[in-house]
Amino acid sequence: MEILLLLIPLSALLMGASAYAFLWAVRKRQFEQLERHALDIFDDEPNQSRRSDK
Amino acid sequence: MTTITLSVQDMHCSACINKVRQALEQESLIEELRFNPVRRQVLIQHEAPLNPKTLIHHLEDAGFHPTLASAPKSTNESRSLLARLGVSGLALMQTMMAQGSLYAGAFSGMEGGYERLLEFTALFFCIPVVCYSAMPFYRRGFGGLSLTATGAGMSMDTPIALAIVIAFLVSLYSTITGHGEVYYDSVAMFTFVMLGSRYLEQRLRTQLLIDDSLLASLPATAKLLARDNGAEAITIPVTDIKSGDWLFIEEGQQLPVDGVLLDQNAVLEEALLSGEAEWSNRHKNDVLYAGTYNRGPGFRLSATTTTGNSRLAEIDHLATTALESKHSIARMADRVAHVFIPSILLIALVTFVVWQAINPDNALTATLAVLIVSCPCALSLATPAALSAAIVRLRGVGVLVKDSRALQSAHHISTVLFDKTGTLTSPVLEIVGWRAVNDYSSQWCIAAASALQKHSSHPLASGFRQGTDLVASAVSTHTGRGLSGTVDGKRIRIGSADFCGFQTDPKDDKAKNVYFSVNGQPAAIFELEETLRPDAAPTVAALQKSGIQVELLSGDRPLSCKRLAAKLAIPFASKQQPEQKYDYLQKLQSETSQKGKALMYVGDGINDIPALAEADLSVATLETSDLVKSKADVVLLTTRLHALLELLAVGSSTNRIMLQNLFWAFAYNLVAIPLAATSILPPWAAALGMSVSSIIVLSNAARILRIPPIVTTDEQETYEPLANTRTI
Repeated sequence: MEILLLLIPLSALLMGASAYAFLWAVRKRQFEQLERHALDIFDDEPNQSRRSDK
Repeated sequence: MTTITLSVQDMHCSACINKVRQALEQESLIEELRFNPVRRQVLIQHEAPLNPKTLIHHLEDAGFHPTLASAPKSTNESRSLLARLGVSGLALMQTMMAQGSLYAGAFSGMEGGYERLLEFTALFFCIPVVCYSAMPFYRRGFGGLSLTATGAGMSMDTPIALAIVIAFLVSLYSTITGHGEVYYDSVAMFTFVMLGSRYLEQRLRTQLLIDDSLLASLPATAKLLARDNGAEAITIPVTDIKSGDWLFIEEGQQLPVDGVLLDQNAVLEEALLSGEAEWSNRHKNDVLYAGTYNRGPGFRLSATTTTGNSRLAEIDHLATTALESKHSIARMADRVAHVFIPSILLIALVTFVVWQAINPDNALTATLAVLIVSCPCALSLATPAALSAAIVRLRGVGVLVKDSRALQSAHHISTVLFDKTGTLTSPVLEIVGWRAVNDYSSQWCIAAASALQKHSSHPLASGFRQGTDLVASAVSTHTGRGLSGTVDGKRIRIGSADFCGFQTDPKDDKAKNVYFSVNGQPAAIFELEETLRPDAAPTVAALQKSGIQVELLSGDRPLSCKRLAAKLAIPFASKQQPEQKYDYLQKLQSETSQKGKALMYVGDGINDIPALAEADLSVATLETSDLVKSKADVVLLTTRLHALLELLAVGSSTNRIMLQNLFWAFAYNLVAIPLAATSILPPWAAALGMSVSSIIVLSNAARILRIPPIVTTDEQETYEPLANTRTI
């Protein structure tokens, strides 16, 4: 059962990574306008609806 | 870095979006552009020195008509809620993993220090939940308390916050001292479930929430004339218009302020005030209002108000005040909380004290059991769960409920007021009769008229949409009078009586008559009438059969109203201006609320906005502007009026189920609290009982989803939500 001593910190790391990824997605507004981005296929150029700074 | 949102209503395809992007890309100070084609808005992030007026000018040069829009306010709040929800979900999984192992080893025992290890693991993963995710509950549960806690600052969140904190602290104590039970999984799960329901509620409420005032749809600039008529007109922002200024209103433009007509004649569309799309002829010195459209040649206007104190602004103020008071009605659940919470805390305190006297070891666990079991999880879920289910159920039949609170009035509606044009009637007119004068056959007249009317955007032309092989050439529009053209070699005219050479009695109220002449000779008179929507009559009959009083409230002329009201066998009021509709509705509503009932209003125009804002339950029809939809509680996604019957029926069922839920939640608490206080129910059983009672409440609410459609029609129709009402 000593393997728990490895597995528990590992799962903590994993959870930290997932939490970070999730919070990044929320901050970048990935969860808003879930349906409207389906309309992106009608744009002529890719990524036209967002223009980030260079 | 500043953000500005512009509403560009004529941006209706991706080609337009491209044009807008190209127009704005010239501006180097712009950092980011974000488009919302559903709301037709563009969000611009730019460096500070940029003047918004420059952006507006760029877009106007490109041929658009932008106005300032307010960005949706609640986005930040719902994003932070989502973040907390996600974190609690992730943490919950890890906590359950550790605590599940503890459960597994609980009976057979665990070797070595693994029990301690797993408890600390559960503790570790529970910390983000307690310190981050549960913050909204602390804020609302504890935030309102003052030192003299009279229960006034308490809400339904108080016991939630208390349970989370106390369960965590007790578990912490057990973990550190090494004996006793730990409840980290209950804490995490509870937080997750409560956050989830709060997030869903929030999202439902911010759908289609446009905070724009009526003034936001006005043009951004206007043409100012010099008084001495010498200089050229200069373009100024509408906010700079002062009373006494002379303005030039171009054809097709909306008036930005109230004013007096300086020229001899003008043709205006005043749907804003009367709800009628018909064009009216105005004469010199008539008062014209902001928000109406100029449908004739440009004219000069002497401003009598600014945009801020125009009649449109007053109508908007009327609506905003009504909406604000509607939303501030204290939620029933919070009122219950004021009594419930202090009682619970008192019981918990008494439990603790009594047990201290009898058996101090048991005191903490018994108190915890009381707090957990009394936690109004089921109570908090009882109403929102039922309302959410009702909203989903109604969406399936073409009814979009924007405000769940309004749905609570749906079960005791005693009166329904309908607007006429566009609500009970469809926007298309139809020819109900014609008289051929001289020798022309009516068939040919109609065909020729249709050919000519193809070139017209006048509302009266909608009745002439017959397909025809005839083609009209040399068509010219004589504003305020009619159209002329050539069909089949003959010169034809269609329009008002004297335009076509007819003699008419001026007292004739048949304003929806269209006259037709061929080669200068009177040829036919067409009588146009509004068509009732196909299911208007059955819907009104069904409402009346269930004992509901139905009335017509319209801005149109008495004769048109009388004709329609007679067909539906309902009383009517005509020529109602927006303020009059509001007053009448308010009066009627106070009468109905005294009898413990509620009132429903169904409308479609900007002139209905104050009434929609004030009504207990307001419904906007499908073919109306976003602005009107944003002021109503419910929006129809279908043209079938019997969706209203669905709304009322589901509303009654929902109310019944909500009461069942509340009854169950209370009964459960009543039985379980004594059991917990006397230590018959240990905390883990209390947590289990809480989960089970929540599941019962949710399942009961889910029954609403299985209510069969109320109205069965011969043709099975599926209601397709249209693109412009898709949830964002």
